[in-house]
Amino acid sequence: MALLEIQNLNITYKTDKKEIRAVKDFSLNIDTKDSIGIVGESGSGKSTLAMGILKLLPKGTTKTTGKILFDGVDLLELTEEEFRKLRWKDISVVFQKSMNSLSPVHKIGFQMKDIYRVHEPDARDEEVRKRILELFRFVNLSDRVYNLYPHELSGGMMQRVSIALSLIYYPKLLILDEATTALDVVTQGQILDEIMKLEEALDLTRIMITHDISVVASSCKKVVVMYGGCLLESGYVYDVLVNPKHPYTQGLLNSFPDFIGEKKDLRGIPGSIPDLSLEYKSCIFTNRCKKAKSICFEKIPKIKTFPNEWNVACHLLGGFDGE
Amino acid sequence: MKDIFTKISSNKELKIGVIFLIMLILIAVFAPHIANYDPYVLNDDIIAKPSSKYIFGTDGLGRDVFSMVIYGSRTSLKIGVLAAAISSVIGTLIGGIAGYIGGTVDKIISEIINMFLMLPTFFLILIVVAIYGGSLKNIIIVIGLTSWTGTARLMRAQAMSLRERTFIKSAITIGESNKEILFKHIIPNGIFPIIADSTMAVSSAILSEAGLSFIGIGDPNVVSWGKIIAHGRGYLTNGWWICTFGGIAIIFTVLAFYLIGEGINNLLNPKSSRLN
Amino acid sequence: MVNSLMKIKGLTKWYIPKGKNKNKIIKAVDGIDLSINKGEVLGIIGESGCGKSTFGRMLVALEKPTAGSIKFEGVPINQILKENQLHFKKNCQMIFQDPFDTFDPRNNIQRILTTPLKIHNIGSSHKERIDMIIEIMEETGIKPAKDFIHRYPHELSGGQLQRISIIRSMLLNPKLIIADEPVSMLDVSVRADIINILLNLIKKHGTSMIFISHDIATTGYVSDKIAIMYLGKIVEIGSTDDIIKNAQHPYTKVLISNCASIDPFEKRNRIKVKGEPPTPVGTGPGCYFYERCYRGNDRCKESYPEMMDLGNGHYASCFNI
Repeated sequence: MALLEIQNLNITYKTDKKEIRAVKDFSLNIDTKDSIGIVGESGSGKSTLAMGILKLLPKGTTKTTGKILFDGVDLLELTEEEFRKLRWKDISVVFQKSMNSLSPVHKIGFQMKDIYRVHEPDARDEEVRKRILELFRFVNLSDRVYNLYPHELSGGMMQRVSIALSLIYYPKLLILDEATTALDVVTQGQILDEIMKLEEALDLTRIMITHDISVVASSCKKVVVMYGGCLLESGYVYDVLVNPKHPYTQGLLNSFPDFIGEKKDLRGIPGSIPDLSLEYKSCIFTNRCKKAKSICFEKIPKIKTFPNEWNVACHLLGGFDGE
Repeated sequence: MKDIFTKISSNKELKIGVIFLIMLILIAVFAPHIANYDPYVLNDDIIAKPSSKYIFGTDGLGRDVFSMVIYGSRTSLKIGVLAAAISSVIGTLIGGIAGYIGGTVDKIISEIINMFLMLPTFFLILIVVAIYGGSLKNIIIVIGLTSWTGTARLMRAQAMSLRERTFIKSAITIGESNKEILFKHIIPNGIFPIIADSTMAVSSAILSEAGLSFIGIGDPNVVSWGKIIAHGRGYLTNGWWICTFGGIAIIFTVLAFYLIGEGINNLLNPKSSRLN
Repeated sequence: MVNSLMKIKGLTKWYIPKGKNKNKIIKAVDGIDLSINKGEVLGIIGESGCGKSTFGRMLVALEKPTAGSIKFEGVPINQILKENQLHFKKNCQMIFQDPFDTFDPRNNIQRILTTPLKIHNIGSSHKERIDMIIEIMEETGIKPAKDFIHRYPHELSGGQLQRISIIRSMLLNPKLIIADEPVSMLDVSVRADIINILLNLIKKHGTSMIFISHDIATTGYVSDKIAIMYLGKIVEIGSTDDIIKNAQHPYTKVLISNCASIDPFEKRNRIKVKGEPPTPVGTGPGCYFYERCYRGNDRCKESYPEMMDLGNGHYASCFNI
């Protein structure tokens, strides 16, 4: 059964003059123990999506419609109080700058213990300590970190602490929003390895939000490609990243240099990201798409499903919307 | 242009301040038409109460207080604006140079700024006026020359942070000279807080002049609000109106510039206004 | 050597903290020897904090070296700067990482692009200069240029701004361009175009380039030669092929093995290293990488290894090759 089921999710930011449609008609099923990478450039709505799942969007200025079913419960229907019981316990998150959320004047162990007691107020000291040290071992941190202050750690170690912290209740769903982006290559590689091992050990379902396809290619089972708030292509990484069907995914992959193997020519995608305050009645990618045909300028493509849970939103595939 | 207008009207402090200021300027410009007496003429009625004949009453020598207050606006505005302009220009240049060049130059200038900060400015003004006489020109110059330190420190901080910005580095690499960078990039990009600061400096210059006049060393040949109050001090018991209307005029003006300065500040840092 | 454009010897930049911590010298750049030939693209790869940006800034005289010499066309740059500063600036240009902050926000594109021409007396009239910038703008894909020249930097996207940055440097027809992470702040889909524009322009004009980046794949695509930097020192240098396919220094191997590919079938064995990226404070006397190295021995602890010649211009500084 799907752990997280997103149905027709729309998220709109409202300002005085404009409405910015950051996420549009987004539907996605995430099964238990899936690891799914959501890839997109800036303005693709990937972070808004994560914030929407976590209900962290500012209430006054955003409008969210649709359904986000987590274990069959619609998160959008829950009150703040009800959702608080789920947050961190069942759904937790690590941001790019999560390390900044720790207080600089308390030791790391102390803060983690405090956080653990939010949902488990009666836990014994010894028990909590044991759990934290176990998590440290998972993320390859030494026990001595327990008694250190945040400023005594490097960025990579802090991000490991953040990951350990996010796992403190053994959540069902972990969202990593650009969690390894700020780290250097070597540390990033190691943390990705550690995260993949964790998944095995803790039966974790993971959403990995990133702009870096290589992170998804090396650490995720499935991938979702987002652009301008829309889902353009999703499926297993072995399908989507090897034989992409959507012109945008193809373009994106061509933009990445791959240094092993032959030196192919790099090709970017001309143009720039769409203005989301406008209303689009056609495919969102059309005006940058090299293969665009007249239909692409007229209608919003429906999502077509191919074998192996491969979804693509493009007019050019499999006939024209059944017409 | 339309943008500036909507911005001003969206900010309460700025709106009130600008309205006050426009009133003041109109009063100063049309003083001869508003005042119903010559402020220098000694009327027959001495210490007359405010009445339909003398709106704000007359002072101890029989001069019409209303006309004096109206004409006084010219003096006060002149002093305030010119002195603030002198101090802003000096402060911006010195602070800009110190902050942008840095190093030894900065150290020396910072020490000079500190020295000026330690000086009791008001007494310095007193001494200068005592030596060179208290003409309007002297007062403007001396207030201007002694009050630039605040501006300089502000501009120095601005220049120091701008210096690290990429666009300054890139200006260096394309070969712009230090002078060009200072005048074309550092000062124009760091000037907004200085403008806010300068409008406040106007009000403090007006207060300084009032203080000087109050203790009797202002320019004897012009009407100023400080002098009205100084004169009225002797008649506090039997002629309250003399000090009161002079004082209200000063408060009104100082408030106008203060509000404008505060308003500009809030426009520039929306965050700090929310905190306040 | 006739071909050599810039020769760097023992270039060093130390930051000495004031006050009590006199011992904690930050060795941002710690003795770099390099030479770049005419028309060559040299990539410099290093993690954040390895001093690669400081190094780049010294080459365009934005920072003064603590020690060492830089010779441009055989003449020490200190001398060039004294005699003819504009000549040096015209020939050594830099492209910065952050395109959103590279230009004075108060100037429009026309002013941004004509300023360098005016300073270096290129073009005889204002009109001629504008024609020049319009031509090169159209050439690099900013079309229609006439619409753009009156816009301000905040009205342009990151990719467009970085194009303007490249154009501004290339207008001076420099002999050397230092590109400090020129695409790391841009979206993936526009990166490739920016890199191609940069490469096309420098090829056309025979300009040399030093391409500073943390991204191995991009640097590999761009460069003829690659130098790997670690804590202010170059640990390995060689042709792009040699570095990527035949790396010798353990640190290079670690970097390459940890660089993820976009091909999901390709599962590389990541070489694990101990510890965390260290800071360039109190390093030495042994090999700076010793503490994290997977094959260090006692010798590595005692002295810093000299560069070893591996033939074909491939050098690495490690005892265990």
